[in-house]
Amino acid sequence: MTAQERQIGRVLRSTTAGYTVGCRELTAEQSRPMPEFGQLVKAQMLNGDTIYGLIYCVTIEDDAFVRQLVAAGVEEAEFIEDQRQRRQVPVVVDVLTVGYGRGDAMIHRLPPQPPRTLDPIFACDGAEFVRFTAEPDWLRIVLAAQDAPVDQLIVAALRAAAEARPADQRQPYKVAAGRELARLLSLDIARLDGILRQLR
Amino acid sequence: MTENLTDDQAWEEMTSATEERAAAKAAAERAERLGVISGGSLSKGLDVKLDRDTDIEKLAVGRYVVAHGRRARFFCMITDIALDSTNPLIAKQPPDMSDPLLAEIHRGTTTFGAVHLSPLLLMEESSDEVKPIKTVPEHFTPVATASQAEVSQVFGEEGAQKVGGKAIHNFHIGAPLDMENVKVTLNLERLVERSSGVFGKSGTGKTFLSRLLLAGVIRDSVAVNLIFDMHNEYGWAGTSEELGGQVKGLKQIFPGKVSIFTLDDESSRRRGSNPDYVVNIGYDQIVPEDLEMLTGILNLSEPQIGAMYALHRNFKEQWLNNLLNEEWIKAQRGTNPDTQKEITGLRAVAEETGQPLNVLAALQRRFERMRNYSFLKPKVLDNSVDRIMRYLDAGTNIVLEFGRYGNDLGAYIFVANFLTRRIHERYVEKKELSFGREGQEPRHLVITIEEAHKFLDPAVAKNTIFGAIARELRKYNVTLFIVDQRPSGIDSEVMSQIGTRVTMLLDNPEDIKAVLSGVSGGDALREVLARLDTKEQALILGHAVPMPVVVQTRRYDPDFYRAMGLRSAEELGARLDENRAAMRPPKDFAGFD
Repeated sequence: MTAQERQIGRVLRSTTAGYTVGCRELTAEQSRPMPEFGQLVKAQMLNGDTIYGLIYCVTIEDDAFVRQLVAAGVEEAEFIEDQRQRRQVPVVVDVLTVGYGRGDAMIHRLPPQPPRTLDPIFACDGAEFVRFTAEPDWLRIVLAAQDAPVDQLIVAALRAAAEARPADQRQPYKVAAGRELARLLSLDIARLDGILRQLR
Repeated sequence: MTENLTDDQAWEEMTSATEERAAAKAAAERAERLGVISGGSLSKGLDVKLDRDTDIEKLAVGRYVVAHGRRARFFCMITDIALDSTNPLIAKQPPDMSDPLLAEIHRGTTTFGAVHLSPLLLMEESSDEVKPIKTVPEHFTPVATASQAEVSQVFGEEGAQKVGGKAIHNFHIGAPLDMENVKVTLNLERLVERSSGVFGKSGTGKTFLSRLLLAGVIRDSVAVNLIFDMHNEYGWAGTSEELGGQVKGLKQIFPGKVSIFTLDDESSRRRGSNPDYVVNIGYDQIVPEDLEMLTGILNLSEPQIGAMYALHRNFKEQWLNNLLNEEWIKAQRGTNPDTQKEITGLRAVAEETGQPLNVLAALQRRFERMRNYSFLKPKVLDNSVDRIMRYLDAGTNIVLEFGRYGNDLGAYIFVANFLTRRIHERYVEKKELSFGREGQEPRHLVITIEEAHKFLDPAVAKNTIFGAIARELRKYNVTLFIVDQRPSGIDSEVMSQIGTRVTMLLDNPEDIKAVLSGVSGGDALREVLARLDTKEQALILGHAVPMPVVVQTRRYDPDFYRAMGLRSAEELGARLDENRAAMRPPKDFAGFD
């Protein structure tokens, strides 16, 4: 799969802590990846840095045509499919920035600049996901996020990160990440317990 | 050329010795590592947070650990083991530990083990010397189980050594808890230098341990021993509850160095111990001071003690003989100063000595009991004290068996006090002579007494010879080795002078307090002491060890006999044959020209 094929959309607006991506549709057109909750995505900067982020919210907004179709009680499958594939407003995907890559290094800090508008956003492949999650420091950034459903995001990302690893490394990875969480959340036992239970 | 090059490359690739040593050291440290220092103080001890991989169920109080600080190593002992958590709430809402993932995550992170250390000694990297501890390691210093090298550095290698021109003998006494292969030693010179004690409730193996220690003292001739063997356990053979049989006594292990004396020839012979000498004491050798100590046992009152002295004043050495001699009393004549009538018998004695009649009569009745002691004779030809002194001077250790009198506390105390008083007098004399004319100093003498609290209880300790010996320390080359099960019954002043205390299990709080009185860090040791096994474990503290130590005591078995130098008949025979073979001329030997 080429980089082009892994593109999920383009940046609508961005801040240092995160950005919003617009996608054409949610259903897969051939091999195009669909944005998923907890998925690692990246934007390429001009200086060579790669900004990594986690998808934490996917919004499908309505538009005038959708309203009309619903109001008119249209039931024909072609109309509905046509409406879904040729949308007037994009599917909005919110991404939480969790670090950036410079050269071979994965840096779990916020990048100096956010991606610019209309920068293409790509889904990361398994190998890149594994590289990014090798060190657990990104968890701290997620835990500090303001608007995102943090606990759910951590569970989804950790499960995906474990899944991206060979079978024999999944359990050790979950244990190591769980211990880091236990350290970070030692003051909030109930929350920690909630996350760990969903990690099983 | 190419070969050389590959050699060079091989050299380049080889790790240097320094690197290898460093790697080995690091690996060893990781293997033995328990955790890191997380807090504490010098006075209250150090807290250690255990590493996740440390199995808390395999730890034990009393184990030695070393904190590897930046400048020095800190030798410490585990005194408490605890469970801790980063958040106390987790105890109220326990996670689902049946799930392996959750269990593995929580273990060592939110919940973890902690141990409490009592810092004991400081070992500086640059020197072999061990120093008293004056500071603590910094935060997060790694802590590891102590190695044999470290334990040896602290306690000293087993065997004889010369330190600063003086010979010292380190005796292997046992192993630290959970460290079977590590030898803990005890400095025998220091053990006998001051009075020592073995304490523990009955059945904990006091006698075995005492015999073990005495065997060490005898083997290395550190001091000459006089053992008042109340229950006939030291001389020829001792009984073993565990093995259900007999173990060898000191005489069997050191036939040339130990002599058995007895008070009860019949009993000794029945037990096969074949005594070298039967101790007898004549009435005429007894002075009131010898009996004063029996006040409690014979139930003597103040007036009766006064009467004893009065009798002694009047009749000199014959006082006791006379008092117990019916004929003599009947033959006494006197006059009543009030009525001027003639009086006879005890009444006349009372008149002559100025003592009330009823007091003398009571005294007579009390002493009736002593007629049962067959070792007490109206007159004896030999002086037992002289005999004992001769043996001791020659360096022969004496075990005095009490035979059937061992169960009679009165007899035991009387004889021990009688002999010790006189032997001590001789020692004082000799020591003073040696000061004056630079004569030979008497050999260091260690006197072993059992049931020591009867001799050293606060009521009598002040005026008995044993109290005096314990208090005057090594001034006259005589020290005590006391074996007792009620240390709380021993006068605290005497207790404070006991240099080395070897303590088996004690559970009476009063006894524990008495043993640990005057010991720094006593509170922490109390925990250790109360948790000793009922057998073969002892806490040793004081003069002979650099720091308090809990040991699994060495076994008193054939291996021990061998270590003490005993060789079986077969072995000696084999060696003789070997020597004979070596001396035999070769077959073709035709003789000298």
